[in-house]
Amino acid sequence: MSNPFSVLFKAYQRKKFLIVDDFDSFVFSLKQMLRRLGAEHIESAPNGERALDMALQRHYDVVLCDYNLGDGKNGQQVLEELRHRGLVRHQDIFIMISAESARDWVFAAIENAPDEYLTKPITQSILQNRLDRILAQKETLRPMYAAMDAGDYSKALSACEQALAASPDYRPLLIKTKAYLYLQVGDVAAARALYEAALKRRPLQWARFGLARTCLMEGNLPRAIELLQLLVAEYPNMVQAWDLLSDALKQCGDTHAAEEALAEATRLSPRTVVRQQQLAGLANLNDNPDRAVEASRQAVKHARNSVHDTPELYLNHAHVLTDVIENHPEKIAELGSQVKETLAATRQRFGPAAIDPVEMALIDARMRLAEGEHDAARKIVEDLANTFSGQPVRQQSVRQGLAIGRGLLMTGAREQAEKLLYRLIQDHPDDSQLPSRVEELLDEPLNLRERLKARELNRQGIRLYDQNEFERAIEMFAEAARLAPRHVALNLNLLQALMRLPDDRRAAYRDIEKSCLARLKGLSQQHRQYRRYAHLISKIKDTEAPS
Amino acid sequence: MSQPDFNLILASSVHDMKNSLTMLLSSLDEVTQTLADRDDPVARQVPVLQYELARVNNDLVQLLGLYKLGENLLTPHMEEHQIADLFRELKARYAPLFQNRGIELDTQADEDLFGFLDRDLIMTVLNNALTNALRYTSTRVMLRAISHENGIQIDVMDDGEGYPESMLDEDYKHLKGFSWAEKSTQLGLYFASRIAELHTSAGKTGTLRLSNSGPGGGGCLTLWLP
Repeated sequence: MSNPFSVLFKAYQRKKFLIVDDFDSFVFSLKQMLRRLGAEHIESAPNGERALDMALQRHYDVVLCDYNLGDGKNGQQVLEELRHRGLVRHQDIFIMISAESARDWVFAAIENAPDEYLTKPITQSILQNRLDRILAQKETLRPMYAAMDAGDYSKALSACEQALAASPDYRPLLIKTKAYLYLQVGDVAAARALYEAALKRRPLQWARFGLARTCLMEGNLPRAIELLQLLVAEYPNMVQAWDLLSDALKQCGDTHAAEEALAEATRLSPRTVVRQQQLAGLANLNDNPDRAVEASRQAVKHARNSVHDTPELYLNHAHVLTDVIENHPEKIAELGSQVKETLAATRQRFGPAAIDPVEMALIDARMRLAEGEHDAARKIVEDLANTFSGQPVRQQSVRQGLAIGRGLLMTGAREQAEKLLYRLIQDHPDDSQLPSRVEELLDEPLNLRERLKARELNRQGIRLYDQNEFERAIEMFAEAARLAPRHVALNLNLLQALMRLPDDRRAAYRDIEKSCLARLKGLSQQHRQYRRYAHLISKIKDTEAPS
Repeated sequence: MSQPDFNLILASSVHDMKNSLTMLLSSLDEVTQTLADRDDPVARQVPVLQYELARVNNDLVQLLGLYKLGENLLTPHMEEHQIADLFRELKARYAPLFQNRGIELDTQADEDLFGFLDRDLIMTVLNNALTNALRYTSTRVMLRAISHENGIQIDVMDDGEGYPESMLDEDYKHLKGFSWAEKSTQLGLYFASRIAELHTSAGKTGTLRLSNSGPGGGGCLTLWLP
């Protein structure tokens, strides 16, 4: 038992404790132990949901949370939410408790790692030893943690350096934190140097993860993927490594492998809303409709009582379902009613005003299209367009304008779409992103899957072109142009690659060249690629002139 | 019907027993604290109960660990840990028991000594080693850690009569057949040796060694981790 007159006893007296566990007798005995250490303010919650509610009401300095909390959120999710909402700060203490080795769940990234793990059975002496140590650590490193909580990472960095010189006890923790802080201030090279130095000593998990992260930030995708694949092979439970691996694979264009990696992360940690939404997106992209629907449904389910429980989430679910229906019209019987239910549920939960009426009408139009009611769909969109154009410019929402433009394209009203969208650009000259977004909408396929496929092929073509592999580049561009025939930049890439071929080889692609030129003919002078187009055409004329 | 998978049955039973034991241990902890507050003479009996319960708990943890080893499910979670802190925890846990038996427990580790290890696994090994040492020592047990050959060496020493000659040359990498006559299966040493083996770093592997280099020829269990 600690001495009632010791400094730590007083520290325990001041702190507010929260125990999160669904097992009454365990909560009771933990409370007793804490009291003996001097604690006076101790509360408990039987599940994660209640814990979050309580933490919103008042601040707790120390949270002791069981990993397995029955059917609700698990300990990791409780921690993520508490951190996300700023309810557990770096200055506070979060301890993960588990019946077995708590380290079966691995958290290598500082932002989501508990401060300490405790494995049951917990005895008075073990609890005291760990709590004493962590309290002392938080106290000694308070300047650093306070700066981190304030978001002042450069200040935190200098506090970290001072602590490294003064407290050799915390050296491993401080080095890990220092690398994290370098990443926060954007000094990726310095972070990388720290990770590499640490790995020279020992194959530390956090350093391996950190190094993979820096590789990803520096755009070294193959190395990042290699490091992460090794990491997940060794630690298959490391959710964050699967997440990062999926991210790297996606950036590489390997959306199938990215989907599988994310599916693994989701299997390990199914209750994370954002991850389920990302999985739904990837699955739709890869035309894996069942997984897309299931993941999106899980996202909605697990969002309850969380920060993610918003009308947007529901609307997104409706969009995922409509995406699936668009790709698989045969599923309309099964999914169509779910779209309607989702919209009804949104209204019921968040009130009729929660959903943007334009979004609502567009989903309706997409559904009508899938049902083959083309005229009805067109009518809905045209009404929206008329109402929108009738509004004073100041009241127009660019997002709505783009969505209506897309709706017009979907229903085949291309001319009207162009008119509305070009007008939108004129009316909102301050929005620098708008021209390129309009261009994407007009030039690229409406279908998400085709759009991304075409982008990827285009990217690969550019890479091959840069390696002087012109014929292979042409094949990529031509394939992409089949999916996105209106894409101006893509057609120009194709043309440019064709012009790099020697005459005898170029003749073999005569048909491709002809149709490419036909697609580009009549390009509006307002198009941002027009000058490039004019330049290439003049060069073609030059080479053809002598004949 | 197919043969039941005995490994699985064992593992799930162990799981269940561990849960009960957890409750039992914390209830006993409760009782101990209350008795201590009241200065009740019965309190002196409690460490014996705690000792036996802790041993059973440790055996179960070890059993579960061996099951996982067999199924290739045991992945060590290697991190840098301050050895002095591990020792403080052991000392806090075993102080009442050692006091009760009139045995001294000394620990010795520099504050800046960090080992690259799985804390739970190594603690299980050290728990075993300590309870064993307590059985065979005469006046004291010593825990010592030093930095050695780019790794750390942890010694658990006692001043008893030392290990019998036959035990010293074994490497404990394989489990010998169980003999009811010998009573000891040396399961603990087998487990410790396997756990040491799981600790690898920079191409090197942890080792376990027994010797009689404790004070006055007492037993010494040496764990070296890269």
